[in-house]
Amino acid sequence: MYKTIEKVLILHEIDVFSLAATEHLGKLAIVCRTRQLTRGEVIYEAGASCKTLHILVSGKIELGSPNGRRAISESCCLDYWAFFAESPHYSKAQALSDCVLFELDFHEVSDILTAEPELSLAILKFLARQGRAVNAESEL
Amino acid sequence: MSLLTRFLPAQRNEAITTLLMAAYFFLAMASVSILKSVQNALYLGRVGFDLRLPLIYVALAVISGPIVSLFRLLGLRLTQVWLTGLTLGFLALNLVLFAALIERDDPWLYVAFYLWGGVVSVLLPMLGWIAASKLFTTRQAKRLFATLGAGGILGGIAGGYYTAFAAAYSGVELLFHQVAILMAAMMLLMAFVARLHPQSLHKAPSQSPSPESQGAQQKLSWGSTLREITHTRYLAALAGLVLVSGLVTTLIDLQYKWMLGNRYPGDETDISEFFGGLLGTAFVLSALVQFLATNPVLRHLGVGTGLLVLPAAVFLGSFGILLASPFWAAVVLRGLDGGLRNSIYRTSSELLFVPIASSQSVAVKSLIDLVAYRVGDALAAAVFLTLALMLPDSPRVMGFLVAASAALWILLALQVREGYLRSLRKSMEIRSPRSTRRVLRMGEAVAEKTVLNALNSANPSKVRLALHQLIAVADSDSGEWEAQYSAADDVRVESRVVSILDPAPPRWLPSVEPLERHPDRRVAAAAFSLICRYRREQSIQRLKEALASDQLPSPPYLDYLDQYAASPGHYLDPQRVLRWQEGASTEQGELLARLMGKTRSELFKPLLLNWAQSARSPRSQAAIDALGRYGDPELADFLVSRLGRNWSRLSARRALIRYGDAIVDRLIALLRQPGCSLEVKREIPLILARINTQESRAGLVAALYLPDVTVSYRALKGLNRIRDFDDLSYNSASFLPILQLWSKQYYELLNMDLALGEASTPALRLLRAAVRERLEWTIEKIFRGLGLFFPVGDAYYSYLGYTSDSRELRANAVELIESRLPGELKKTMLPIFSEGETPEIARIGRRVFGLASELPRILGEALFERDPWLKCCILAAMAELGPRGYEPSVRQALEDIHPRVSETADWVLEAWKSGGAEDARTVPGD
Repeated sequence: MYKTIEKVLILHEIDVFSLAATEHLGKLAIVCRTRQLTRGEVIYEAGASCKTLHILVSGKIELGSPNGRRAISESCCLDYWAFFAESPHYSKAQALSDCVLFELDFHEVSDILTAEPELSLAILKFLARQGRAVNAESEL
Repeated sequence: MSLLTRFLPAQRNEAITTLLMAAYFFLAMASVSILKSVQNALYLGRVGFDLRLPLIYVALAVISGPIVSLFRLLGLRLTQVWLTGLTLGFLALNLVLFAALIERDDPWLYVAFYLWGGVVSVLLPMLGWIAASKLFTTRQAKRLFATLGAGGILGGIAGGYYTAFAAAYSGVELLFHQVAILMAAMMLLMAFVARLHPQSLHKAPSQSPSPESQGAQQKLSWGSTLREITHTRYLAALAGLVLVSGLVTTLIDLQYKWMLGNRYPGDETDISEFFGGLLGTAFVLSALVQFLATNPVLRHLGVGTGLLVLPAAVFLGSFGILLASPFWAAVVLRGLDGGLRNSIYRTSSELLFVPIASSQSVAVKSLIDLVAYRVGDALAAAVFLTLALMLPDSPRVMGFLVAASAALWILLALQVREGYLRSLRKSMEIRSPRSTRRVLRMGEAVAEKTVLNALNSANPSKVRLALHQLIAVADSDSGEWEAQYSAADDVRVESRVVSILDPAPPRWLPSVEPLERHPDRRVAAAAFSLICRYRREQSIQRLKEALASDQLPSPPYLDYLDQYAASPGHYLDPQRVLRWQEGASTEQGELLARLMGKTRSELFKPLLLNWAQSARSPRSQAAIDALGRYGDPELADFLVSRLGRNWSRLSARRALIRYGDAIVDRLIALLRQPGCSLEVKREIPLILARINTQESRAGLVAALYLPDVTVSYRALKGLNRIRDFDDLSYNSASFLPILQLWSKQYYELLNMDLALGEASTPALRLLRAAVRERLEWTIEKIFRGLGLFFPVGDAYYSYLGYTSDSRELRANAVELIESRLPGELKKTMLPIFSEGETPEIARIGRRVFGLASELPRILGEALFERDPWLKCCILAAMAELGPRGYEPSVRQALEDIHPRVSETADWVLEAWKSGGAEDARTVPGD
């Protein structure tokens, strides 16, 4: 089992939490569950409701959508847009190798976000910067 | 450069500017000294002391007005460096002209030169001080103005003695050309300083930094500047101070000259030598005070004390005229005034202008320095003239007058001291975020249209917001109606009943009525609530019918009772509610739980407890909240236990707040109980802050000193919130120990941050991030701590100023803090806010608190501190740094009372065993 500090060390390197205070990552780490997957296992299907935030700790995952497929490797947060938007997944995620995932439940994250507005702001700031970068690209 | 910084209280980047400005003041005051001696010598020697001299002071006040107008006009159109250059050039040309005309020996020329010299002696240093106030921030000014003043004093000494020498050998006329050359040198110096600081001195007046100052620019007419001074308390007090100081100094000056004129009648050379000698002596006294006392007084006792030294000395010295030899007492008084005015008083009073916005400084300062000072002169002259005519042989009456004026001067200095602090705060208030919320007035057509359009929106939140606006309007209308009828008791009862039952429906009511059937139950409830206000009888009837059914009524009615009805218990039958809940969904259960709580019926208590104990759901959260309404001591333990869970924390907190004073002792006891969980303890300050009684405040103050940083921080926030609208009844001494502790923590963190250097591995990066967060947090805690005893708002605005991007605001914030800080804290706390470099601040911390400088010792010692989160991060870093030097500390951390710390220590030992933190991190858990 990962210890809380190990989870924090991993969360600290994830881009969506890059602006969050370390102590808030500690709170997320406490409610963060570890899940091990074997090759070929499906994490979620396209169109399925998104109630869990998945963070890939080790291994490889393939994301497949009508537009194409792409593989992603460790230290990556899967489809956090769907998680925070409370919308269905756009793509299907499947393990390409044996993987370790961290999972955060929507209710537990929202409890922490409610109690720690600074963490909400940090995530909002990250999402805004991403959105701004996308807008800038599309304008160019 | 290092030689300069060793001898000057300046930092590397300030040294050259300080030296150049000090040189400017040297030349300026040398010129003033020469001009004053020449002006007095020519006048007293060739015209003699008669009643025209006091009249000249009155004339000076009269001509100061137009001169200030011209100066202010130029100040609005020219950059600072051009204004100074043109003024100096013009004055130098004047001198050349005077030198050419002086041979004519026309008495009116001496009068004109006396008037001209009176204006120039104020203008020359004033130009330098305006430039200095634009170049330096408040903090820099406090450090460096004494050096600039010292330059001026040395210039004064040189000028005084040079005049005495030159007057004896070459006559006074030649000095005119020499002063003109000094003025040209001043122009060059100012141009050089402007090249070094184009942002400060080359900035055109129209390039004001903020919209406020732009507005101020446009309004800077003569009248508006005068109005601004008279309407701003601080500026008015400042003008008063300058006026009274001008009055006192002129009284002293006239008395001295009168006695001198009588002692050496018609002897121009003797008078010139005596003047030069006394001026030189006064400047020597100035130099001694400036070099030995000004900086220490300003640094340790503040600007206010610096301002008081001269009036206090004059007040005491005036008794010499009353009690001892009037001539020598007048000479001593003149010497004291000359000595202290140019040193500590000048430096302190110039500091008062630094917080004034730069766009106003030329107009305000020229008006105060020239006009207020000259009005003081004129008043003194008028008083002197009257006394000289009525009581020609009564120097003691004059002594009494000087003493009385000095007493008034002292009072004004005290007032200005407080005004100075207020102006510092105001500079930060102006830049603080302001609320832009605007209340809609339904009488305004645009507002009404906006609200009514929102009723048709597809977004339920928007519709509800519009309905709430209308509810607010309906409530305020009824409020107005009640107020209108309360004056006529005889018609009041009948009219009110009729009006409440059937108030005239507004024209927008038909737009609201269909919303009662809106699919969103909260919108429907809001619409029903609004309709109830105008169709009361029919609406209540419909509500009663719905509630009389054994079937669960439609949600809008229940929502209406929950959100808008004052006493829902009046409408609900408890037995029927119990039947409704049997078939209710979780969402309906949530609504019912809230209503049950509001009725406080004992029948509902077992059911609510049952729901509250069930798994996480909106219904269980509502039930926990509802249980708080009973205030039952037997339920308190259950509610406290719910504070420890993430999902029920908010509801349990709300429930316990409803207990009020009855729960305070129990909560305080829990804070002290070692067995109570940290999650629960951390919630307690939030509850105590909301209860806000004398006991709960005492509990919060005690919680400040508890070892857990979150408990302590939340108690601090709670106390801050209470202090915003209530008195805490605790003095500063109650909070000094905790502020000392936070100061020490700040130095420890800074020390650790420096020792960590460039963090390259994940755990070191985590630790560095945690340390920097804690540094920011500690600063916030210090400001919050100061907010518990500083005048309300001072600490808050100082925090905004200190954390802003503006160099000036940061300096103003630190200046305000320093002025308010008790002496015990200054030594440890002020370096934290200083402009010094981080290693220098850390070095001060190491010296004051005896902190370690090597990383292993720093990390090892930090493991004994209070902060469990930081301990975890330190342990993680130790896992990467290896066991050497760290193992004993990690083994000790295994015994830590915080489970997370001991868990991390255990992980570190495992990581070392398996060959490194990196390996331990990437091995998947079991």
